[in-house]
Amino acid sequence: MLEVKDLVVTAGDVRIVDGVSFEVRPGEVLGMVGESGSGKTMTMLAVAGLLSGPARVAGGTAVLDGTELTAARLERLRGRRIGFVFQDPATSLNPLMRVGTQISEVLRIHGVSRSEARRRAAELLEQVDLGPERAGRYPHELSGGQRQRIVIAMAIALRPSLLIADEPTTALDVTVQEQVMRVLRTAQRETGAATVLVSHDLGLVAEAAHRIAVMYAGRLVETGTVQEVLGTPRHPYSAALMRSRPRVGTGRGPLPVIPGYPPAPKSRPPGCAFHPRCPVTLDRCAKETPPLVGGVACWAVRDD
Amino acid sequence: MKSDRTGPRVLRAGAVWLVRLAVTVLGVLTLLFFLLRLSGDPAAVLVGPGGTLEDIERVRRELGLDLPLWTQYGAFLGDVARLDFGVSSYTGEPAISAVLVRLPLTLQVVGATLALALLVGVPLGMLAAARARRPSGRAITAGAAAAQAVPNFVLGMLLLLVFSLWLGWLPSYGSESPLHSVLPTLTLAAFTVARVVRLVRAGLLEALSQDFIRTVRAKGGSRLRVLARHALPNAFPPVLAFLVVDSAYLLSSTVIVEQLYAYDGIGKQLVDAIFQRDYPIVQATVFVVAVLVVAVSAVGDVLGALADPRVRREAAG
Amino acid sequence: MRPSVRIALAGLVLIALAVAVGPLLLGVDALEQDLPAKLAPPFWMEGALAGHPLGTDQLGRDLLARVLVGGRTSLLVGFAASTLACAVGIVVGLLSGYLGGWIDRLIMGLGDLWIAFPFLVLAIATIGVVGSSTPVLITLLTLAGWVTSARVTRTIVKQVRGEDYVAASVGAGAGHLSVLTRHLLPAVAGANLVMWTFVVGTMVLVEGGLSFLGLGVRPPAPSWGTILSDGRELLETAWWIPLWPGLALTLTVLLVNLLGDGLRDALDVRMDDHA
Repeated sequence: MLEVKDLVVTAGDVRIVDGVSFEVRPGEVLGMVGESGSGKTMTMLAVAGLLSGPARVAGGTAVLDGTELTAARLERLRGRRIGFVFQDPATSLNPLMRVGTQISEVLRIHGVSRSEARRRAAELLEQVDLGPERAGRYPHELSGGQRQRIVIAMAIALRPSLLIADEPTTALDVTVQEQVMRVLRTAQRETGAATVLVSHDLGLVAEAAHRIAVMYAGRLVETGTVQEVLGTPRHPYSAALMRSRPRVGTGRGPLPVIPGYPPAPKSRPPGCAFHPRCPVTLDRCAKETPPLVGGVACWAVRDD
Repeated sequence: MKSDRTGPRVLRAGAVWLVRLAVTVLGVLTLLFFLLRLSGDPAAVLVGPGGTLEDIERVRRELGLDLPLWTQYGAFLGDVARLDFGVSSYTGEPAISAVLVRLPLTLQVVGATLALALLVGVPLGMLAAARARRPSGRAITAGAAAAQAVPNFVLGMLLLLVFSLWLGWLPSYGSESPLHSVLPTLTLAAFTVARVVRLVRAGLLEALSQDFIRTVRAKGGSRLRVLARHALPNAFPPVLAFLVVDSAYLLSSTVIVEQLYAYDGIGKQLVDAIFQRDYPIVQATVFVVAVLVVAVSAVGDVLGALADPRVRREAAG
Repeated sequence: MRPSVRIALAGLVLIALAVAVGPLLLGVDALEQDLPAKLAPPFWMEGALAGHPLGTDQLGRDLLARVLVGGRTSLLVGFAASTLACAVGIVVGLLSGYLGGWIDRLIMGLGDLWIAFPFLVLAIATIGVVGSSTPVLITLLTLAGWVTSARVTRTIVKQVRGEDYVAASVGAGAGHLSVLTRHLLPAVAGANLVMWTFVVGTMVLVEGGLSFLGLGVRPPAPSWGTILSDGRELLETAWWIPLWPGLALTLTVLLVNLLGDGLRDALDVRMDDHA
């Protein structure tokens, strides 16, 4: 079980992620959605301790199965208790190393013997629908979908209790997206890992996730089950997001778009960051930031 | 890949290299042949100032120098094919064996330099990259830039003065003992090591900025593993390419360094031969160096292909 | 301009001015022997002679004057050789890249062999045969240096040729010469400026090396290399003789490299990173 509380990520004096809290239970898939730049990837990189460049964790805690994830502990937990699937399989594998070796590596790092690691790597390859003979291939000899399945195999090799998949199909051809998602979901079910699926693709999240967390401008604006958030979105931003989502078989008119652009992290408006684009603005919205209460962070939908 | 066409491919690559070898060696020697023949009368040199015109005429006939230039050239090529460059006009021994006898001393210095480049240059470059933003890393980088600018003959005199003449730690001139090769090696190695440090550092910083490094960290890989096992192999191709080109440069520089330390390799032999007008030795030296250079770049190509599976496939396909 | 470029440029201008004007201001003949004053140490040491601040050599010649005059030769040879080498390289590279086909392959194949050969060995052999003089030196250095410039030029020409404005110009009926001079030459200028800077450093070094071996500039005319060579025999007793030309050479090369690095970054030139 992953519990994140008041997570803050800064780059310089900019707050990229601004007080995000959420939980994911074992076996559960949380879909984290939002436009690009909303901070959803940064949130999960911060949880895994994989931030780079100027970005730093500036506050908050993340607890995995009762253990607080500090920088020192993360060094040992990554790969073993936390598995990470990255966005672009074209660049996330070492081009000079056979993929079998790259899968074994995660096992070797965490103390598995060489021969056992090789045997397990072959099993893992089958688990992600690739033949064990692919172990001897180099990344450039595999397709994008195959490479992503290699990355999945590495992520689940030690049956982690937390699996993070950051836009796992975004960089892939539409035709192979489904296959990669099927492999990912099977792996998730078999390991029983608490899973966070970061995506801007609501359709994908609707199919794969149990719960959804919507991020906007570095904050969580709404959380709930897939049915709740997708069926009856309460936050005006979630609602706008649902409306702008292309659907098969409905109308031929232009898709409604959310007016305006998401604010750059440097120039977020005061109060609720969504208020300049929001159809239902109260006076309060421009002054005070609404807290996440009862799964939604909006002054307009508060009971009081 | 594992294909049955590997055999012919190897043969083809081998054939390409033989052609390269032939063109390089032939081109260089041809140039030298005409330069030598056009510049003066070797017979007069051989006979010396005391000889009569008849002596010179006799030597000229013996050496075939009275024949047309093209006939001489043909004969020369035939001699080269038999590795016969004539005898040293100074010692009387066959020129090629005189050069080959001295070759190990030169190869020892060049080989030690390449070893230092890998054993010292690569770790220092890694350190400079790992501490790129810290004073120690900057100091290594600046030191390498400075070391790169000192000419080898200047550095050589400095080392000679300090370690041999002032401190007396190392022998100054000659090549009698292995200790005699220490200063020549250090002199030769300074530039190469400095350059490798800079190349490794730049290559590592570039490699470390790539996405797959994050994957290794996500697997729980330590900083050392990230640097040594993943970034370094990706930073290595430019280092290898440099060392191949640099080997030719090192063979050039041995001429200066050996002369400075009176170290009896083929470099000093070449300079001595020039001043003694001992042309068979000059030709044999140039021939040996040309063969060495082509051999080194062949080895470099093979290593480069082994180091990068993408090139391996390209080269094969 | 980055500070490093500014420092390097200022330093090089200073060196050039010193060797150009310095001897005139100094008014001391670099060739004048004064045996009673031989082997005088530099000013801070005991036994230093007034009028010889950097000391004298074994023939009593003033080292300050010799280093300044010697710098003329070293820098002149370096400048002339690198300019000629880059000019030849640009012409060859333009033709190779523009014409393409077997000419291109032939020239570049030749370049590969050329660059792989230990040039100094060949230069020494040649000088040994034809003798040494400043024109011979410049010719040999030019022959040694054209390849790098030709390669860089060719690579850029290959890229630029495919771009729209060149194609449009050809389509509009522009002649070959016009395309080469109006479009391709400006495109390769930046990279060649960087190349040229680095080559100046290399040329100054090679001239120094050849003169050091006694195969460069003929005595008594000094160059930094010949003064170093003079000092070799007397290293233990008169280490200051090689000190000054050694410092001058090192400083020049360091500044040239600094300028080259700065220009490369400023002009955003990528070149294959050979020695």
